[in-house]
Amino acid sequence: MIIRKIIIEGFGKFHRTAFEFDSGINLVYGANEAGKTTCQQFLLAMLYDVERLRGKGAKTDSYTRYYPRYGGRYGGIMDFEVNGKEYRLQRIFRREKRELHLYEKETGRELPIEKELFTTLSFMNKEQYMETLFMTPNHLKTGTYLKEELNRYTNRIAGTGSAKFDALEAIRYLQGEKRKNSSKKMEEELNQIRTTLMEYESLPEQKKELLEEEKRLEEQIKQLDLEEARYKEALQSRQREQERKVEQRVMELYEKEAKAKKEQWELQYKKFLEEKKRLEEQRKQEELRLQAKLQEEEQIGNGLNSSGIFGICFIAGLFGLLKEWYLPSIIIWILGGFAFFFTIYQKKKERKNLRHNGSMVQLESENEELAFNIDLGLKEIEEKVLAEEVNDESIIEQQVDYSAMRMEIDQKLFENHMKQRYLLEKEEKKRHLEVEYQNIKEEQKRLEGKNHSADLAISILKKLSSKIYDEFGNSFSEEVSNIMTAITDHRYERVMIDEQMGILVESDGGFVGMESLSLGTVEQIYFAIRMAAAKLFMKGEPLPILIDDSFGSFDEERLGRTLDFLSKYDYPQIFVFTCDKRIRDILINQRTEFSYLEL
Amino acid sequence: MISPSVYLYGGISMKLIHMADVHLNRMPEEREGIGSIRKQEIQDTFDQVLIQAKKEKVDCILIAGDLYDHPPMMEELKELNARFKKLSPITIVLIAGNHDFVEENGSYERFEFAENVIFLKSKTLQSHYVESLNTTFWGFSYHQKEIRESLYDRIEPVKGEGYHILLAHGGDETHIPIDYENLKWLGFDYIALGHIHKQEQIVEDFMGYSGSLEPLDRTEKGEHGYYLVDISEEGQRMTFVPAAKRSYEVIEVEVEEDETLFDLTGRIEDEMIERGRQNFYEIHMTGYTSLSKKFSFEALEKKYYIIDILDETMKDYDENELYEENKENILGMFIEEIRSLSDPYKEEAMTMGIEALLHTKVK
Repeated sequence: MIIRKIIIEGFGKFHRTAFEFDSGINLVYGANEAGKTTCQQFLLAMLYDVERLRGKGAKTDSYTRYYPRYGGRYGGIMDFEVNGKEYRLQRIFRREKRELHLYEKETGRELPIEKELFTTLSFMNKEQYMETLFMTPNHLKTGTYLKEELNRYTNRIAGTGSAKFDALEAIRYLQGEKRKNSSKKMEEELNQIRTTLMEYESLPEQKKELLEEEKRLEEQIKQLDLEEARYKEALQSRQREQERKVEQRVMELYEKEAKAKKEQWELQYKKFLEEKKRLEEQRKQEELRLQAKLQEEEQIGNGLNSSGIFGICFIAGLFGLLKEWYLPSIIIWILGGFAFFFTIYQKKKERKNLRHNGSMVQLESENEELAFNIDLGLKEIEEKVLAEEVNDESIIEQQVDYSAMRMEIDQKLFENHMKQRYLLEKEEKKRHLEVEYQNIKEEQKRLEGKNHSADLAISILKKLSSKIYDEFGNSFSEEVSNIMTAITDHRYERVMIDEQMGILVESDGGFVGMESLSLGTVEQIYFAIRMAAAKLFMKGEPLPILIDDSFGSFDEERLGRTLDFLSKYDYPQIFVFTCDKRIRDILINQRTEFSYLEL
Repeated sequence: MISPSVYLYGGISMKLIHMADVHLNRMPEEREGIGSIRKQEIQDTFDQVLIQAKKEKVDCILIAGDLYDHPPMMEELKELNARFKKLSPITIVLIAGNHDFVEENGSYERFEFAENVIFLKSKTLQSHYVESLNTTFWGFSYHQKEIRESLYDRIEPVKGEGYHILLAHGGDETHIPIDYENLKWLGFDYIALGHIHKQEQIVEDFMGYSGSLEPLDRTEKGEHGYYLVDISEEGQRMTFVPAAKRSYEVIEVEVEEDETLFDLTGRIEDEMIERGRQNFYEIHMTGYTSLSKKFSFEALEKKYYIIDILDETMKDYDENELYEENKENILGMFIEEIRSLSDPYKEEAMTMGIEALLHTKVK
């Protein structure tokens, strides 16, 4: 790629500024604060868009930093050539109005962008660019990305046949699996269970206490029952005492009243007895009289009783009738009839007397009733006495409420049982937790085993990887060595780089690490690494090399040789930003071709 | 009055039920969400055994410990006692095990069972003679969770007429280790063991563990129930009667190469339906599968009780073949290197490494 021209609409301190570039080396001179960094960032922004961060980062990200200070649209235009074709790129960085347009300069046609520019035109992504060709101060040291690229590269070389495996990728895959099997979560769970189980440690004690309490409460109930029984007995005996007293009173009263009534009654009774006696006498006499009469009649009757008389009369009457003595026979019949009816009348009278005796019996029973009624009067007295006694203080005392007390204890027992049941639940939970604890521990063990296996596989892969690198990785070290030889004028000819990007440089017969070298040499080495990486690894369209003031620690000689190397490098486009006027002179003296631009 | 039947030649025979380790109140498989249901099932199965005892008109029921999962509460004993009382005149002999041990001030200590229940409550060996059966029952109860002494080894040989039956609870290091050989010669007519949850006749038709009535966790596979034992002058006969409502089963599945998850699931489901969907299942898978097959049985796990899935399928590649084909590159080097190791994790490392590398294959 060759960048022809940039038009900055608004970016940092630049406002509607344009710059034109050539192929080959472009020396861009600018004093401090002239805008070198801004210009570089603009180029980067045109290639890859501006970095926008959220949250805390938003205050200091590139987007904010390069927001146009002097107005104008936050964006710009870049004309460039790729593969012989000329393009115009237009971007607006402003978040709300983000735009990206790519035109084919020849036809003016706008080209569809597949996601972003670099994917559409097939060049390396931003990370790759910044770790290789985009060399700015403080960013020179190579990052992990380069390390990985290196490994990928060597592995690709190492693989033979049609099957090529990427050990680094495999290692990353295994590490990913390990992360998934994190036993950290399990450890947390185990801790939680341990804490909960500790809470349950006091359970047996609690249970013991509860059982003791239960026993005590049951004893209390038994005690209470005993007391209640005793109390009831006492109450009963007192009641009986009470009743006895009442009875006594009643009897006293009764005696008093009854006595009076009794006298009355006795009198009555006496009278009644006398009356009875008299009636008895009367009855006896009546009886005697009747008896006598009966005897009389019997005597009469022995000769002729009534029916006999009647019969004789009747026959006599009949006889008379036969003899035609009508009147006498009729008279006899009538007489007979009279006699008959007369005896009947007598019998009736007797029955009446007997009835009279019956009424005597009735009279007796009437008197018995009277006696009975006197008893009833007793009841009335009793009630009266009792009514008096109710007001007596000795009976109304504090009724000890045993049922209330028992309810209280029952309540406590109930609570106790609830607590016991709750404890049982806890014990059950405890058991479950213990089982789960075991299960998790087992699972943990299994995972740890798996992780061990993963670690083993990873270590072997790493070991093999470096082994392979040792065999095949030379090509990279060679390239770096070549570049170093050129830019240090054979001062340092051999550089060894391992798969971890560990760097050793041959110096005075031996190999030394970076810490033994001067800053300038270190910078040269990184430069060489980047250039070698760009050459060997990168695929796709070669982007412009951009170097900024990295030669801060270089002396003139070193500078010159590096620039010379660059010019011979036969690269499409190289930008060199500097605030050092010397560089221009060096280039002129070396007769290196370059284009010059002053900011 | 002698209640059992009298043989023609005047011998006395006795019929009894031997059970143990009922663990009333335990809630198994709470994780699967059926803890309360299992608890109720344990109670129901126990009640059914009691009903069966009455139907069979057995002479006695022996419960060799761990009737409850924990020392029971007063109310629970009242309910239990009501059941026992109703079984009268069947005699019930009971000892407390390590789970439902006799706790100080606990209900077992204070509760008075009905007339027909013999609770051998003491810490030390005690006996109880039942005249109607002409039998002496021997045994003792746990008063704490663990007992490490082999208390049953110290028993003296028994003498005296009638049958002698021993109830014992234990059989491991922390719960009365038992020397079974020794017990054989002490003169008992039958020994009812409890504590081991798997039913086993230690000495055929003489001494055995009835096992738990219902299986309580996934380690308790096989049949569960109680023993119906006939004892007579001639000898004894133990018949195992399955009584559990559910069981723990293992389904072995050999996965076929290229078998789809759908077919595999279908096969497993058919098996579970055939064996009974109320049971608990462990699925063991073997066979060869392609590399990135991951098994997921979520749908099945919702419909059935799947306790565990063990994936022991082998990855579908031939190690030797791979080695031969890739001798020159990192894959071959890797296989060679791992083979040369003696690390215990090398097998798994081999599988994981190969899988990882094959994963990165560049075409």
